[in-house]
Amino acid sequence: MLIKTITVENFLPFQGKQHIKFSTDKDRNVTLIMGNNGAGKTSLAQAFEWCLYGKAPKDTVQVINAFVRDRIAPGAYRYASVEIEIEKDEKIYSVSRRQKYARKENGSLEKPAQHEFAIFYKEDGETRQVAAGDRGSTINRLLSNELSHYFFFDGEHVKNMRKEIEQGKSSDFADAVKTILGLQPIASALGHLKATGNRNSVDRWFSKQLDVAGNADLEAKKKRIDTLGKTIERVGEELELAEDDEELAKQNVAECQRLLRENAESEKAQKDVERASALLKQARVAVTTTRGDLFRLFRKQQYRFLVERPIRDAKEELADEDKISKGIPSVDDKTIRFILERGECICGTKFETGSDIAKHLYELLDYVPPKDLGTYISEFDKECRLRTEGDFTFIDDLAEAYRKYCEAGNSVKTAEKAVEKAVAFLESLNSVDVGILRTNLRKAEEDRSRAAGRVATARRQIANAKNEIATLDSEIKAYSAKSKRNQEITHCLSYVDYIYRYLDAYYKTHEASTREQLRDTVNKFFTEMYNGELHLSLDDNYGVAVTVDDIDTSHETWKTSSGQTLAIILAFILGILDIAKAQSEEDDGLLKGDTYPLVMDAPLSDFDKTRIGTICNLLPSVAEQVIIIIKDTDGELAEEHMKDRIGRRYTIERLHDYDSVVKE
Amino acid sequence: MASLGDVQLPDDVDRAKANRLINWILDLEDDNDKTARYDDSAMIQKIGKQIKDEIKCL
Repeated sequence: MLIKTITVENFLPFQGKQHIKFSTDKDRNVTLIMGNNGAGKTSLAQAFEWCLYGKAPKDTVQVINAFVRDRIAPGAYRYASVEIEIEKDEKIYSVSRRQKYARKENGSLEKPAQHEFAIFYKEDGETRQVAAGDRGSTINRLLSNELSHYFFFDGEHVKNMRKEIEQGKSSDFADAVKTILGLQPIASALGHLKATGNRNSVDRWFSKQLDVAGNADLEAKKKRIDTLGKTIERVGEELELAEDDEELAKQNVAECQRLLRENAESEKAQKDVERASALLKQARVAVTTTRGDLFRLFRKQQYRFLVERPIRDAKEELADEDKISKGIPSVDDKTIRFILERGECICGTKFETGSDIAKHLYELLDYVPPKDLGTYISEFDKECRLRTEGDFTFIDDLAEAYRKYCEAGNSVKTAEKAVEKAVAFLESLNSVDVGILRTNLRKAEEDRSRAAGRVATARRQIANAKNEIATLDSEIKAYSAKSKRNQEITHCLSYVDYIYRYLDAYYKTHEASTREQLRDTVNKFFTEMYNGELHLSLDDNYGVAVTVDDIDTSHETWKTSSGQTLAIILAFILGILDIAKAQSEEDDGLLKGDTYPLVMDAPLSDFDKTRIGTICNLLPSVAEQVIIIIKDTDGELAEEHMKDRIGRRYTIERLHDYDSVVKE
Repeated sequence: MASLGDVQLPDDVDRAKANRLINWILDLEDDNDKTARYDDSAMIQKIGKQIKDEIKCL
C-alpha cells in the first residue's frame, strides 16, 4: 500500500487547498515535511486519521479553519475536507471526507453536519464509487483502524503502544500482529472449518446435510456425537485449567527446589543446629540421671557411712566386759525388790523409801536379771553386724557417681557451646527457614501430582470421546455412502478434513517460526538503534519483555528511558513491517503479509544525534514508504542522513494565525 | 509439532483442487479479517458452498 497524495482544505490551520504529493519511488521512498512549532505539523498528521477513520483530532471540537468559519456569511456554508489517494493492489483509491459548516440567517453557526465520506477507485481506466455499505470494509481492507496506530506514529500512539508492549497480554494485540504477519487468515479458517464444542463449522454444516432421516439408530448416533462434542468441550476446558494448574505447580516445585538448592548451606547449618540440640538434650538427660544415681547412692549408703565408726567404737567399748557389768552376781530383781519392801539391807542397814539407799537399789534393777544389759548388748551387737556386714565401697562408689555426674555436666556445657556456634553460623547465612521451604516443596509436589492426575483423567476422557466419535462417524459414513447425495457430502467432508489438517500443520509450523523470526528481527533493529546490554524477547502473545543480557526481566517492571521505549516500539514496528513485506513477496506462501507505509509525526525528538542517524538509515530500507513530519532542526539532521532516500520535501509555513501553507 | 509432511492426502482428495480451495479460503478469510463483512455463519456457508462447487467441477 502506498499513499500517493493528501489534499487538505480549510482543515485546522490550513486555509484553502493545500496539496502534498508523496514520493512513491522505491529508491527514494521518503517524503520529508518540515515545519516550525505551531505551523501545523501535527494537524497534518491528524488529517490522515480524520479522513480514513473519522477520528477527530484530540481536544478539537471543530475541524474547520477558524478564520474561514468566522467569515461564513449568514445563510452561507463552507466545507472542511481532506482527500487521500492510496494505491493498493494496482488500484488507485481516492478517499475523501468533508464536513459542512453553515451559518444561520441570525448569524449563529449551525451544528456541524454529519461527515460526508466517499471512496472512488480506478479500475480498467474507469472511475467507480464504492457503495455506502462497503466503505468501511474497503477502508479496513486498505488499512484497518485496529492496525493503523502501528503505522500512523505519533506521541499519543507511542503512549498507548508502550502500555500494550509492557502488558503484552492482550489477545487483540496478538491478533493485530498476526494479521500484519499474515497468520490470522489461517487461524480464522481453522476456526471455521472445524469447531470444538457446540459451535457451527463447515464440517458440521456438511454433516447436517447427510440424509439419515428415518433411521432412528443413526439419529441417536448423531445425537451421541453432539453430546460427546459437548463433553470434549467441557473436559477440554477442565484440561486447560488442569494443565495451567500443573504448569503452575511445576513452576512452584522448581522454585522451591531452586530455593532449597540456594539454601543448601543453610539446610546443612540447620541440620547441625538440630544435631547439636539433640546432643544437648541427651547430655541434659545424662546430668539428671547421674545426679539421681548420686543421690540414690548417698541416701542408701550414708547411714552406714555415718554410723560405722560409732559402731566400731561401741563394739570396742563393749568388748571390755568389766566396763559394762554393773550387776551383782547371783542377785536378781526379786532380791532387790524384797530388800526394798523390807526397808533393810542384807547387811542389816535400814533405810527409808526415797532415801539414797532406796534410789541406789532402784538403779540396780537395771543391771540385774531379768533386765540384764547383756541382752541389749546382744541385740545391739546383732544389729551392728547386720548393718555393717559385707564390703563397704561407699566412698569409691560415691566418687565414681560424682565423676559421672561431673562428666555429664561438662557434656552439657560442650553441647551448649556447639548449639550456640551452630545457631550463630545459621544466623550469619540468612534468615530463610529451610523447614518452611521443605514444607512448601512437599505441598507443591502434592499440588503437581493432583494436577497431573486431573490432566491425565481429562486427556483420557477426551481421547475416549474422540474415539467414540470416530467410530460413530465411520458408522454414519458407511450408511451414508449408500446414497449418491450422501456420497458427495462425504467426499466434501474428506476435503474439509484434509484442508483442516493441512492448515493446522502449516499454522503450527509457521506461527512458531514467524515469532522466532520476528524476535530476531526486532532485536536486530533494536541493537542497531540502541547498542547496549538490553535485548528484547517475545512471549506467546507477542508481548515484549526487556532483558538485560541473559537476565529475564519479564516478571518485573523494567523502567526504560523514553528514548529506549521509543527504540523498542520502532524496532517492533520495523520488525513486523520487515517480515510482512518478505511474506508478501513470497508467491507460494499461504501467509498473507502486506506492505504498509509509515507516517511519523516527530519521531526523532527523543533521540540523540547518533541514533537519529541510525534510524534515518533504517526507516527507508525497511518500510515501503516513509512520510516524516518533523520540526526544522530534527529535519535538517534527517535530511543529512537520508538525502539519497528523500524523494520529496515540503515545508509548512505559518503565515498568520490559522493560516498555514505547504510549500514544496 | 506436526509438519506438512505428516499430512497425508486421502485417496478421494485431489491435491490441485485442495490447493485451490486452500488459497480461496485464505483470501476470503484475509479479506473478512480486515473488513468483518461476514459473520461466522455466513463464512461457513460460503466456504462450504465453494468446496461443493470445486469438487463438482472437472
